Amino acid sequence: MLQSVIYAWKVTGSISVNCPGGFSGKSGIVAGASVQAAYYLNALAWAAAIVILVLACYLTAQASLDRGFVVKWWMYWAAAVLVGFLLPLAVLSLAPLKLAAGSCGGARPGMPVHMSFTQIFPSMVAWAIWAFAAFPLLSLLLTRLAGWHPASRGFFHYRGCPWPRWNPFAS
Amino acid sequence: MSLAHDGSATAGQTLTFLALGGSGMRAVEPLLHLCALGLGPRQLRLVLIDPDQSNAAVKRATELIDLYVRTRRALAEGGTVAGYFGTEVVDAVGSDRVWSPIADDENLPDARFATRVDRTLMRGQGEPLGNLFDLLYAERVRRMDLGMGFRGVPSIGTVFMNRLREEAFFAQLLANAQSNADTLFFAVGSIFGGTGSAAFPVVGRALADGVRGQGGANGIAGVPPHRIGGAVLLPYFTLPAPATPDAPDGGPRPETTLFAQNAAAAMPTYTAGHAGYGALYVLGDAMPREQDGNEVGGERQQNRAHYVELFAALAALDFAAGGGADPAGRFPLFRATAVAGKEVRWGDLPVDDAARRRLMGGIVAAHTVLTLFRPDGASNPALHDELRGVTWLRLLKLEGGAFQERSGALDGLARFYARTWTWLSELERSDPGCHLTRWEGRAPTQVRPDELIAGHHLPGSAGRRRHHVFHVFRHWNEAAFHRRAETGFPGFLQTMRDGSEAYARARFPESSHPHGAA
Repeated sequence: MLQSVIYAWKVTGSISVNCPGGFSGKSGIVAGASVQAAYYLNALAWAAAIVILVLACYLTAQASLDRGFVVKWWMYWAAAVLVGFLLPLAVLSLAPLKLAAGSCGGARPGMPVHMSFTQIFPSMVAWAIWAFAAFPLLSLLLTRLAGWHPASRGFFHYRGCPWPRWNPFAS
Repeated sequence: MSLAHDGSATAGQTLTFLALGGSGMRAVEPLLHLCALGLGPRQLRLVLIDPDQSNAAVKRATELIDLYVRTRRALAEGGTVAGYFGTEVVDAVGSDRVWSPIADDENLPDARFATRVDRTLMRGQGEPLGNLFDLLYAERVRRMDLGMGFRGVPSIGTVFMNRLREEAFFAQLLANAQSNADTLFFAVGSIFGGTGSAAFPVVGRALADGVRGQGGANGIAGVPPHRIGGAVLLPYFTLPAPATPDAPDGGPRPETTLFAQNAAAAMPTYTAGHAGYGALYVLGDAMPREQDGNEVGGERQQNRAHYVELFAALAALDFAAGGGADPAGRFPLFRATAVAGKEVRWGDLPVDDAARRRLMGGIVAAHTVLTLFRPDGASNPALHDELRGVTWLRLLKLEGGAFQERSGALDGLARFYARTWTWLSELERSDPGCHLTRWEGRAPTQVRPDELIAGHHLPGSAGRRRHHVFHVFRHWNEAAFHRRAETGFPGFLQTMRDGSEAYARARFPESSHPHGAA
């Protein structure tokens, strides 16, 4: 499990799929290059989503640190976890995966195939866990590094979040 | 009249403010509020003159002076106070607080006019004098209780006002003026009633003449006219019809019908320059407000604040900002301003943009104090938690506990600003109204920062966004960043001022709708 979380961004083994068309009932292998491309795309989309969420959380707010912002930050954190969970489902299920040459007997190599939900689900969990860690870490990093100067706007005005103001029930 | 200063021009000045009678006394209140909001001179010496020491206006003024002095002292612990409450207020009269021209005789239980001039002793050789006295003053005037003021009969007051020249505090004021060329004098009083009308010419003349030496003692030279200014208040209120024609003591009541006549009769004294003033600000209202009651004096003579009194205070600051009148000019100089329309709005205030901005910022700061630090004047047990992690607090190296240590200063600040809130609300509700605010009687916590200032609203989405006190803190954060060298509580006071002014500048810009609904 831990390994799958750590290596969620890349392929850890060959992925077998049900053979398409007239070869149904047999198992084939997805071409490694197409799987790798799909996972890279997923990693990039995930990173972009987390960064966008952190930026949106801090830069769209117009006030200074208060309980309302801490609640908002928690909501964005939850959104980041949800995005981390759902993004692999969208990316990997829609990714143009191809059948590896020589699998599924006489099937034409490069035929489009799709991963099943059960194959994608571990990645969804893994990326959600990464999102859970990445959102507060990125928030902390940006409020500490960029937040020293007013030009960084929200990161300056809300530099007390997530630390020490991470608990919305404190006040 | 144009108050061309942002507080910095008056920062080095010492202004001696002489409040004459009830109207002059009521001008003390706006003056103190302006000082608390950072518009005052370096030092303000107050001389309160009124024979009616139990008057509600006297009580209100002295209470506010005490509150100001206490608050400033609490704020000054551990550092100097600049900006808000930057003006040092000194009671120039001394322990008596209010100088009464009839005070010398106050050991006498009988305060009737005839008794105070020893009419009973005008016998024998003094009989002709007694007859003259009886001829000049009607019976009901002779028996009027002077402890309730001079009630529209300034000729009586003038008799007693000249005692000012014999007072030690007055000699001290003149002596200070000799040693400090920055000291300016400014008197405020109405010239349509009793006490103010009696005192205004005498005070100006006494300041200009100085004190003559007696019994071998050296006299003290007078003050040059360019350092003596004054605001004469023309009829700006009327009184409702009284229940009885005479006062409870059988003496006369002030009569509204005579106000304009009294003022017109008095004005030539000033236009001719006989009263010693170098600059005169003439203030009045074409539509005088009827007061709530017709009380002769005492505690029941409670009148709401009026914008003319604010203008009188602004006139004093204008005089101080200019360093007095031009010494080479012809005296007296007259200053005039006008109000467009029936109601007074921000654009009508005779102040420059910087002073207007400072005033708006002060209102924002007062609201912040009364919203978060002391909500509606009460303590806030959650303050420490609410401020945890706030940027300006960190930049000023203040811990949340710092405000618990300085709770006395914050309490004082809140109490004073609560009075400022009440005063501005009274001005708003007055008729004619002074619509600097549009609070409609609400408590501070019920008013959002973005609706604090009347007549300035931003169009579009920026105008629709609802603000709260943490929107103001965004500007405090930046102010604290730029003032990082100044930390601790003194830094907090500076941050409060700079940040609140920055919020006012951003939220209530000059380009916003000047007469729109806030």
